[in-house]
Amino acid sequence: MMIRRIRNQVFKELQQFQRDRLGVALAFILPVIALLIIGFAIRLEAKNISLVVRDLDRTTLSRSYIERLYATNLFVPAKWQGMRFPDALDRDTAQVQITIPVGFAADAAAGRTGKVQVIIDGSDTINARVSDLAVQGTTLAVVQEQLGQLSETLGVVAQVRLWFNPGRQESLFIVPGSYGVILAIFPPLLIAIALVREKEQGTILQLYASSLSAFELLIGKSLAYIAVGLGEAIILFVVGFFLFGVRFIGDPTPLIIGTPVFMLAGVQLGLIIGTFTTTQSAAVQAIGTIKVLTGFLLAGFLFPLNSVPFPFSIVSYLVPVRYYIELCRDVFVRGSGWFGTWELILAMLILSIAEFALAWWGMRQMQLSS
Amino acid sequence: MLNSRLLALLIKETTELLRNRQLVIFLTIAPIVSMVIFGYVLNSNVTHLRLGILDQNQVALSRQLVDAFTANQVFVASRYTNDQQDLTRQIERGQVDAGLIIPSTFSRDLLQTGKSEVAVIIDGINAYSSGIAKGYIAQITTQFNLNLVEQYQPLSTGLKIPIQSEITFRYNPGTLDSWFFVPGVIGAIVTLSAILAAAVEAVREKDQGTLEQLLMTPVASTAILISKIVPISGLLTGTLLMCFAVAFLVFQLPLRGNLFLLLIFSILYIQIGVAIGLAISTFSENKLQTILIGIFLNIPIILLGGAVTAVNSMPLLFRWIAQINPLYHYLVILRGILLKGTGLEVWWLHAIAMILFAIATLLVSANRYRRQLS
Repeated sequence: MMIRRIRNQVFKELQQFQRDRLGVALAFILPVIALLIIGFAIRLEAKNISLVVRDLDRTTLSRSYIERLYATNLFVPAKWQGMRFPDALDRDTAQVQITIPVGFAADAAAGRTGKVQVIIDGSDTINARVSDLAVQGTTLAVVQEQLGQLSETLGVVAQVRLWFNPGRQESLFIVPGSYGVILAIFPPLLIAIALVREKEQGTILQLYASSLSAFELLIGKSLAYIAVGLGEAIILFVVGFFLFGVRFIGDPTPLIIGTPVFMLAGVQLGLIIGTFTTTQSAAVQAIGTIKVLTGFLLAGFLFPLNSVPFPFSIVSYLVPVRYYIELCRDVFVRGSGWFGTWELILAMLILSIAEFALAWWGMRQMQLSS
Repeated sequence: MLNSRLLALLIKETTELLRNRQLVIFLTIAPIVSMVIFGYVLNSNVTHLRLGILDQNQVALSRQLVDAFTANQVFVASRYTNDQQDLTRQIERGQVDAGLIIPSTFSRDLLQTGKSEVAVIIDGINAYSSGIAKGYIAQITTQFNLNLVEQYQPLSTGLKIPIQSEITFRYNPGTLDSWFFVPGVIGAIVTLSAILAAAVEAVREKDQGTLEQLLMTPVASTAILISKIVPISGLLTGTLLMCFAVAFLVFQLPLRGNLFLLLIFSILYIQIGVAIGLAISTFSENKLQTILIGIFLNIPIILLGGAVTAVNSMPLLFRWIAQINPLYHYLVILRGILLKGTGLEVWWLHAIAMILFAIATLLVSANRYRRQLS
């Protein structure tokens, strides 16, 4: 009896959803467009940081230093090499200025220390850090070269190997992460809108009056939108495979199990927002702030979460997207199978059960009050 | 006559907006909370990478190397193992971010031949942090070697470091990530709030059918439009001022440029967002479509506008696309005024672009809205 009622509720929900043809088209096309934008455009590391060099020394050493700097493949010469105020950094035409003063090579040869003056635009901290490392690396390489001529070499060489993504392709990092971000936004949004619409149009009162319990109502609605979300997920995975070459590495079953669990968590949040807000504008703002911002910024999509300071690191553990992004990266890039992923799925499951309980409680409160 | 009608309409719209308590809360408290959280959380620095250590040598020298790796917080010693397979498995399962393998011949090779190799395996899933980690490792080993030379050959031909790079970070001497991200988050919040609030509020009247009633009154369509735009812009300006207060008080952002220009262009940007929201509401048939388009539009605007990653790092095509993104121009101006202390003489092109955007979006949305009314 209960199963039949839930089934009917799912069918009714899907029927209502597919009646708005343009809405359906948008619900499936917009995520794909988002994937294309994120996959093609987002790059953390610049490959072409513009550099202004002023070589006042003009010696073999200074020239080899500059050559080595460009050999890192990180810098390109800035179009405008002038130095007057407002200079290239102020104008945003260069991000790094390097001055090699007169006497640089002479100092180095005479046993003093020749100094290179480097000014990095710190307003973009990501590229500032990358530039900093590149300049220091270049300097150290030149130091070793110089010392090598002076004394016998004594040294440790670290053979660094990058596993899973040896070519450091950023798309392999960004695209699986973007699955999580996109799927965190769209299904909850759809279900929250559906629920609030029902409240605004007053049809929810009919549901309260029917024999359908709050539990069945929530399960029915959730299942319907989980189905929609799974459709979106499959489309994203297919597009990701064909355009970005992101494919399953190893066992795909953790993702097959994990995706519905993640959908459940997301859809529950949509339901909670839908029950606790009374107007669509508020619901949309809530989804917008919580989902778009946390998804992009708090779930480890761009930056590793290791460096997050203590009280805030707790917040990130409550975001289901965090686990799903890790799951996607594991299945599509690392491929450790169930051993590395079962904890992620368990965490998402616990979060979604907690959210379901909250949504259920909210729904019962609402039924009592109306 | 017209003015009193406009005034009446304005009062009506304002009270209606303020009556929607939940929306007001979401436009005031939520931005502040999210700003504080994201200001602290967004951190592009690569630290605390979990290092699995396999030290087969177990002598003072090998321990020195391990100390060198973990000295400055880039790596933290997470697990010690004595089995290579164990370490490999930990990396494969993502339990550590990197593994350091010191072979048993490490110290002997080093002292006898002057050369020795260790292996470092980095989990390369995150292309950005693995690149940074690689850079740090090169620094760590070179520094370690220099210390060794000093330690074991103190009397060799007057060893002096021949060259040095003196690096200063202009505008942000401590490379505080919050100084880069907080302006970006302000831009993202304003974009998100302005577009969504304007779109949903504008479409509400259409859904409820009260628009027809409004049309029967003798007010001009321009007055209706103004009465829609002004209250929501006022509320958003309040949001923005609170965001700036948090930026200055909590994150200690500098204000090196002109406060007046900052406010002018911020309000101009709010106008652009509101106009885009209004335009969306006229293009879609119902609320679901409005909301879907509204939420969706935020993704490219925020991500491609340089809020979280620099536009300079994007492929060329997207650097061109950024030119038609109002948030990009606003963020250049915002970061310019706050961090660089630059003025119109530097970013006048971006200022013109923003003014053109404001005019264009207002014209389009006003036009569409008026046509919808008649």
